[in-house]
Amino acid sequence: MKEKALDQIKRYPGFFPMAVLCLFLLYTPLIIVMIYSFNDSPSITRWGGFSLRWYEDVFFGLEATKLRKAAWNSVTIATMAAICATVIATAAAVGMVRSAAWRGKTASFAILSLPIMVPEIVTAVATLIFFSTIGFKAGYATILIAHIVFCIPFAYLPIAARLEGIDSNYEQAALDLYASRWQAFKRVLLPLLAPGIISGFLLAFIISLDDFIITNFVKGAGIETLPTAIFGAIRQGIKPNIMAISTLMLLVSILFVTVSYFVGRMGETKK
Amino acid sequence: MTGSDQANVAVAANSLFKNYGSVEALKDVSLSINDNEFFTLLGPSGCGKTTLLRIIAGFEAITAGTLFLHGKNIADLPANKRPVNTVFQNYSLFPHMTVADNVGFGLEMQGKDKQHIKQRAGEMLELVQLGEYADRKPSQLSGGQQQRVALARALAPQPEVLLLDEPLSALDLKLRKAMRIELKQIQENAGITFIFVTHDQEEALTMSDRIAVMSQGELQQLGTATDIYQEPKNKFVADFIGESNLIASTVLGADNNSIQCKLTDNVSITTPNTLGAAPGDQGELCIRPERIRLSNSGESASLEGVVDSVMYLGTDTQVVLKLDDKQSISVRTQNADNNRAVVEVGQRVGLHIDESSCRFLAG
Amino acid sequence: MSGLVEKSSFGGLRKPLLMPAWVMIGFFLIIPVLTMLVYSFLTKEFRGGVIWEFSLAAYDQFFFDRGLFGDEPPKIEWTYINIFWRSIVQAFVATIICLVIGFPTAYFIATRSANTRNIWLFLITVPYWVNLLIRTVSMKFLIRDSGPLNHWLMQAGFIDSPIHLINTNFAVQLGLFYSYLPFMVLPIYASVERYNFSLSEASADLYAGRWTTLRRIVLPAVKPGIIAGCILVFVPSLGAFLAPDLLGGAKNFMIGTLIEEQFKGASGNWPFGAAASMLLLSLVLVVLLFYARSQSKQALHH
Repeated sequence: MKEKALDQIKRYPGFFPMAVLCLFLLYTPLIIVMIYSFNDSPSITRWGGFSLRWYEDVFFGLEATKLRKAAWNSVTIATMAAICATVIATAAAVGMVRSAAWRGKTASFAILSLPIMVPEIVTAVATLIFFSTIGFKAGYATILIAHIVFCIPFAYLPIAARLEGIDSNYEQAALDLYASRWQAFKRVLLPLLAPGIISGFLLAFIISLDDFIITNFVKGAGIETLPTAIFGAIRQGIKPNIMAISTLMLLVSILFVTVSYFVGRMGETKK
Repeated sequence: MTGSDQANVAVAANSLFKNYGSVEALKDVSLSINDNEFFTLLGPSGCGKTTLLRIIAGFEAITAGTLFLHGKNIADLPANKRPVNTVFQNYSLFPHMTVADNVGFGLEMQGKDKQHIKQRAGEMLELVQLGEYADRKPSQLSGGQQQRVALARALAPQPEVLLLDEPLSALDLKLRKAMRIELKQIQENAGITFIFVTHDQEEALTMSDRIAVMSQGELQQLGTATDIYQEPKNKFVADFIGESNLIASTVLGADNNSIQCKLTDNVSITTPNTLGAAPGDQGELCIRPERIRLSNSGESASLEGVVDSVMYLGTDTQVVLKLDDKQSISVRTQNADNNRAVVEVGQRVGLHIDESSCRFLAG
Repeated sequence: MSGLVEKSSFGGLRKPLLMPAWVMIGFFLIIPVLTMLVYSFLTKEFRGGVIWEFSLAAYDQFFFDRGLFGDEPPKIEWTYINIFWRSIVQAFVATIICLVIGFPTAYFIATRSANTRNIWLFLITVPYWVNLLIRTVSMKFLIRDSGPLNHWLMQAGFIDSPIHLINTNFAVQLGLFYSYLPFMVLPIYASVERYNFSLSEASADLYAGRWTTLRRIVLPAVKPGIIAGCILVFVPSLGAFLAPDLLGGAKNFMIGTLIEEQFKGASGNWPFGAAASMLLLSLVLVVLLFYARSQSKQALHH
């Protein structure tokens, strides 16, 4: 009893219910959609028993080819954008974190975080106008370029954070022991930095996969990604097959966040 | 140039300057370090000792000056091309490699063959008594063991000079004392020049062949342990190495061998004239507390004082006295027998100063 | 003189390492934004697009009403200013909701044991990784007039007729809150986690009650995290498109929807859209500059 009273210096009544409310608000819509994706009834409101028919519809129904194509575009763009952004961001992180203070450092950091700072819709408008001015045909390539730029800061932040936690004496020890700069990077810095790089890659991948606004502006007529395809579909109202797709994408996201979480913890225990 | 004439000089630095922007980290530092020497850079934090070490290692560039290693100009040589290895303060063992891989890393980078690397790494681990830990990861070792691995790793490529950046500071006192002896032995057996950086004067005094005392980017004094303790060249060295009473004083008279310095209005002290003082010089008189003997009122003494405080310290007792002109002076007496309470607070006692051990330091 | 020594570490490679990022962002973001600035001063072309002729028409249309034929004396045009104002209010309310729910949550998480903490953080982060479009659609589905929420409330007898939530301001705020809540929780969590709880003990030792301690000791200490969280929620909320479009309907326009309209098909007006985007960007930059100034002030204090 007494211990509890003393412990209460840092505890506040009401904070726990708030945290529970927070989780409730975050998860209820997702869980509801997940449940209704198994609804047998074509009316999305009334429960008509458990069924997998909407999943079947997603994979084999009328819109299956269109969706598969959109999914393929989404995944290939996200993979390439995330790889490019991660490579660029890793180089930038080493350049930023491993250099002493210099005059342009703040400005350089501002440039790196610009894609996060500028509202997405502004980036979308600017990119559309730019590509149309230089006469670059909107399509797969414009989406990819826009995604790479947009993903750079998302890849940069976890990598730079990880790098800041790695003592620069490690590379200096490697250099001191006759390693060249490239050997010091490959043999010492890269293995230590790996958890940060993986987190950065996964975050960039998800950000690219999620993006709707920029893609919608720069995609041009003939091409869809999953979000633009879904957005187009719900213009005619929410159909149960949308809920099935949503549930599938939800599971992919959960898979990613789980992988990223365990990679992060791996990094912690390694230290 | 300086280094090339003498074969036994390992490192020769001439008028080194290092600026970080407007901050002067090193100001005109010149010194030469001999082969097989245990050389220590000693000073408080921020004195420039670590900067000097990192310059020798090749991690920092020189702003001005020259730097030679065995007669070869290395000022422009990057760290990975210098036959110099470092034991880092926090060891910086590569956490993702085994102990053996860590120790073999330098040889691997030099392109030595695998058999040779394995054999040499094994030998080095035997030398530091960690033979059976070869396959462990650094995180599975204790602080003292990591320290030894760092030493083995730096020694494995047989560097011409080994640099040690406060390598003992992370260890606890007992281990630190044991490692001092061990480090000295390893240095003697390996026959390699050690350049050791520390802020701990006891460490410096016990291990070093020679010590360079640094402060505010400048070399204050260079000499053996006895030199710098008994013949401090200036107030900083006298104050930083050991304890001393520094009492404002004036030279009353001087000849080639000795000088008379004012201690109080009516007491003066005759000391050796080692630093060439002249009558009228203002400065400080350095009197080591252990070179003063106290006597009870029975014995006649030219100098008397009242006991202000008595502190029992185990091996000895520290007594602080007030002289008649209110000047404080500290005295250490060894606790050689059981009569602990030599004096009591408020008691009037006589002071007998070993005058030949005092030094006048011009201010 | 010793360039080689400095160049031998990674610090010496700064420029080549940063160059790819600078080039990508400079060429495909900074130049496009400047092009957009130019566009906002061009003349509108009727099939969507521009004529390369200098014109202030876009900004004029934004701020002034000159009547149907453009020959009346200019009056202030409130339509667009009101949309901007509404966006600011919506984003502000969403930020406050996030703060009110996010702060206790972040504080609660930060005071758990390491393992519990990790589970909570994981649970808070998962929704952030879920597609924003899907999250917004889920919310829309849940709160529709004939959606599960109203269905249950009616079945449970709390209400007789459905509560009309969809296409209201509140729905948009709810959507924004739902979109960006993790951005509020995570920075606050990070600063509470760094907070030294012996300060709370010292406060209690000096006779302060729990809530006084919270107000006088904890809140000032974690203020940087709270400000960062508010910025991270407010800025994207301001330019949000999905929440107002899907949950707000035609009546609850925000800046994002206004801009999007200008680029849709032939009815669009590119210079006007560019001008509205520039105004939004300026608004965001003002907020960020304000933030940067408070940050550097704090850095000076420490």
